Amino acid sequence: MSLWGWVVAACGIAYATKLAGYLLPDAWLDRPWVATVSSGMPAGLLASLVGVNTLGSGVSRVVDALPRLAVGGPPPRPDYSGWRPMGPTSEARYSCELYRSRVV
Amino acid sequence: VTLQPAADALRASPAVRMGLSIAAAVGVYGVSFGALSVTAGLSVPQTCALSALMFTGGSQFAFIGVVGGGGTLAAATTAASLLGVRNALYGVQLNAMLRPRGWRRPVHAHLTIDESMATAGAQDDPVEQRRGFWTAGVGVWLLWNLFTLVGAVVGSSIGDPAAWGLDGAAVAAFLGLLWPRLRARDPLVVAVAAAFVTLVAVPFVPAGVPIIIAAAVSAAIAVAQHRGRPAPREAGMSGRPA
Repeated sequence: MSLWGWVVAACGIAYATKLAGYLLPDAWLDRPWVATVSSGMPAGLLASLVGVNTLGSGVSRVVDALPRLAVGGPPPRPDYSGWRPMGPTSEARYSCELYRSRVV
Repeated sequence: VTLQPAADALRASPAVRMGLSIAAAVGVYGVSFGALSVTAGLSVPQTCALSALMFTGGSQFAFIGVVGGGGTLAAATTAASLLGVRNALYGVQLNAMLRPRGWRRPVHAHLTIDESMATAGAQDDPVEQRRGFWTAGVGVWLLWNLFTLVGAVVGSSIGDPAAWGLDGAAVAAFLGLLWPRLRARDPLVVAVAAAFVTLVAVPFVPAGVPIIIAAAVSAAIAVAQHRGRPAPREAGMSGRPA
């Protein structure tokens, strides 16, 4: 399959994932425990987003960087396998660093 | 007929304000996605298609990251899809909260991202929840796509958004949404536990998974809190002993 084909497939999977949550029947949503969980969960999700965006990427990257600091030498080739950060902000910052390390 | 009262109501709405500031903070980062995507080997139209159609930043960066690192396109698609699993969770939440009908349902699904879930979920009033979802969802979509195009076309010459001092703005916005909820004891317990498991999980599990673990822990705590002190409204709706 061409690059275009995979781009469209990946977009389709992403959209189907999002849509899945909306296809649950109302009767299911009206169950009391669903209301309990939906009212209690936002605080947890927000705290998790804050945590991942502020510390998540930083901690794992600092740990990864320690051996290189000790050895010295040229900056390592960008390693895309360890995409820890999740929110757009930390990801963008990470990508900017990767970008600079490739270009500069 | 004048639209002035409606405009005033929107201007005074905390959800609209928060949605707009999140959209501004996050949307600008489309520049770095656009630039990196073209560097990774995607064309400008392919880059713009990812932002317009996939529209979930984490998955987009994962996709171009794997491609740029020399991985297969199947691996790129898998990584992007796994990172998007949390959006299904957001979909359930937002569906229960907003109950979209008709054409709104597929549109809601497309606008379901971290920022729209966070802005809507942080409001208690249903009207404000709706305003927050639409403002953040549409606002981020517009700016994210605009700046993706700018980044893809202009590339590195525009510079690094982190250097503009905006990199902390989205975190500050999430924190601003979380803070008012921490006055009550139950959400405070949930938030502390969720932040703790997130930070413990991040070094050990793939990206995107920590928030799913945090969501499971939050749900379990919410149920436990509910069993301890059943709300009368909900107790009356169920035959189950609360």
